[in-house]
Amino acid sequence: MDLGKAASTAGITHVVWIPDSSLGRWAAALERTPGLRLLRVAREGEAWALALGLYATGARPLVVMQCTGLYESGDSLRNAVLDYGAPLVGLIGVRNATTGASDSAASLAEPFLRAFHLPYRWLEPGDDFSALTAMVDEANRLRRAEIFLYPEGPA
Amino acid sequence: MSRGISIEALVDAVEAARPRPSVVVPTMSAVHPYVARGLSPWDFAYLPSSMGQAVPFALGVALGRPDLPVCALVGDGSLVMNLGCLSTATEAAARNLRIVVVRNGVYQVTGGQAVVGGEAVDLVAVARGCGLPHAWRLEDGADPVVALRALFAADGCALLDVPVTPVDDAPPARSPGPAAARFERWRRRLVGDPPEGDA
Repeated sequence: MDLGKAASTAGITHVVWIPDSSLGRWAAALERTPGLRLLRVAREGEAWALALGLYATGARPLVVMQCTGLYESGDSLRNAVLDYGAPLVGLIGVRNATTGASDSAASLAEPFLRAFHLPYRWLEPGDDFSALTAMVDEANRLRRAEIFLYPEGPA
Repeated sequence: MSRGISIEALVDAVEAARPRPSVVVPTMSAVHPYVARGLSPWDFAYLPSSMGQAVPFALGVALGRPDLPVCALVGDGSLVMNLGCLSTATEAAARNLRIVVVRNGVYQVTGGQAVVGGEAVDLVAVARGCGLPHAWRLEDGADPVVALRALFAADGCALLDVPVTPVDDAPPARSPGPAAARFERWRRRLVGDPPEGDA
């Protein structure tokens, strides 16, 4: 199942993103998915704030970015999820997670999320995002913020 | 730079000019005068904030509620921290988003240190350069209510840069109550399920 279909099936209304070389391949699929709006932002911190505003109106956004952008956006994520308690969900590509290469971008992903008290789960690498649907469904049912980590190769 | 108008005069002018219903999102130094005046239940004091994120936050509200004008009051210090948000706003094409820049030239809530770039930064030119359909400055002596009415009446996303007098003894920036509870109460109004007792 492609990323657009998986998100749409889970009830996602907006994908707020900055693409990376792996997840960016899904731009066309996201743009043509009925009922889903793709929103590009200029910098990652904007994504969490924009998603917080969408959530306030009843929309169900999914934030998508690479782990390096996640680190950049930490204050905005903290504000949305910890200050305001918004149950936002994010799909984060983890650079070099599949290569075993020594890369702080990969090795910091889990410690970063633990520091933010955010639950997370790993997806399988590849082009089938069907597992994402159930994960987003569960996070929404529990009304909890959650991050889904997508293992990537080198940038 | 002009000495500008007081933040209280700006808040009064926004209240006089805004259509109703509408959403106003004050942040940082605009929060205290707004709360002192009395926030509408449609409004949200974005504090605690992630500095620079008030415009993207308001953009999300504007996209989710295209039937409501949504106006963010942001400081110049906050805006220069995240200028890319103007490109994001242009691309998202939220016709109901309004941005009022509280241009006092200082980081008011941290004690009045100078904003990076100062008067050399032309935020109206930046907004136009980022593709915003409308961007103006409140000129010296102009009536802020008239300018704000024009802002709200604009056909598409619009920004008004308002010179505001910095103050020496600004009150600390504090959330007017528990943040998550305030947010949830406001969210319920936006989704059409206002809490009992809300006007």
